Amino acid sequence: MLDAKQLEAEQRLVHSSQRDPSRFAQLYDRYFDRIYSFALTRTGNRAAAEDVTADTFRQAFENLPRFQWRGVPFSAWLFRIAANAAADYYQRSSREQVVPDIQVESDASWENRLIEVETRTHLFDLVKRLPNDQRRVIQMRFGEELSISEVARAMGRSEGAVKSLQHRAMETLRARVGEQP
Amino acid sequence: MTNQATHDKLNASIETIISGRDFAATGDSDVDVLARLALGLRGLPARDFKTRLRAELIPGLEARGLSGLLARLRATVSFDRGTGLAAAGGGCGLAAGACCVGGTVVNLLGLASAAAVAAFIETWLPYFVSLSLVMMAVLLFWVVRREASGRAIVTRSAIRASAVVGSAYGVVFVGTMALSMAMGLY
Repeated sequence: MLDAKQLEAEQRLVHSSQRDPSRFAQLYDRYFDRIYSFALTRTGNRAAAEDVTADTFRQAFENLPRFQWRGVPFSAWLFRIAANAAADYYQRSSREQVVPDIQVESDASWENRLIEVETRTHLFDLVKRLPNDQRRVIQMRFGEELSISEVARAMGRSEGAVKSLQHRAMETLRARVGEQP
Repeated sequence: MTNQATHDKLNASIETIISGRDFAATGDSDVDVLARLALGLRGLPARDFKTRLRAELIPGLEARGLSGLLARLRATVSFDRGTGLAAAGGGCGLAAGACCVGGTVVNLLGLASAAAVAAFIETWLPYFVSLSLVMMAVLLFWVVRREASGRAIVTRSAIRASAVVGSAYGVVFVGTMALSMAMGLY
């Protein structure tokens, strides 16, 4: 939750992005992980999450000049766009039957969904702060979905060493996940 | 259980998770805790996705060379508002005292006598001060106009900006005057 000062800073950033589109990069970097996590939570698969995330930021970028600040965080507007983009994606997929396993709106409340999004975003953030070797293993395993042997080849290590690094990385994440961000 | 066996068990659970299935408990509570955590990592964004999408949205940022560098700087480097205003106010103060600083330097280099520099400062100081005040007024007008979104915000913004810019202006200008006084040039 943003305090009054952060909200004011965000308002200035939004206004400067409206005048100078290159400033949008800051908003993009600030909210990318949250929007991606939201899309992943809503759709349940990576390809769909990437599509929804891309649609969300494209629409936000195109509509930014018409955005009017109403004293609520910019993310609220982004989440609304993302929710619509996810619904559109689901409708398109159902029509074309391209993605049969996409999740339909579940019973989970909006609040529970946001908690899940924040938890996932926090976890993704913790991955970025892992020691270099551990981060590379986790990124390649979960981000690029490479097998242990592929990771071992990429890192020039044995499969046993990579499994050990992977274990250590998960232990580090477990230790940090309960700490305050 | 050996470390290697534990690593293998966790890896098998992660393999299951990555393939999109829910992992089955292994019976090893330590491994299962880590595997449950790994469930949250399923779908971790691919490394290049964020960069590709940013490049697609804002093409200039990924350009190579000077234009790309400038675009990235403009997009990522933003001064804190207070620091920027103080620097701008200080700049105006320096402009006001430019004849004092310039005169002192010229005198120190032996290019002009103290009397000549003192006469120069006395003649030109009012013009430099006037110019700096105009610069400051334009700066404040620009800052307030940028943030205009309602009368209350404009007033608050103008008061805060004026206080910061004015203070920085005063400190720097007085500093330049003190310098020339200390050198006996004013």
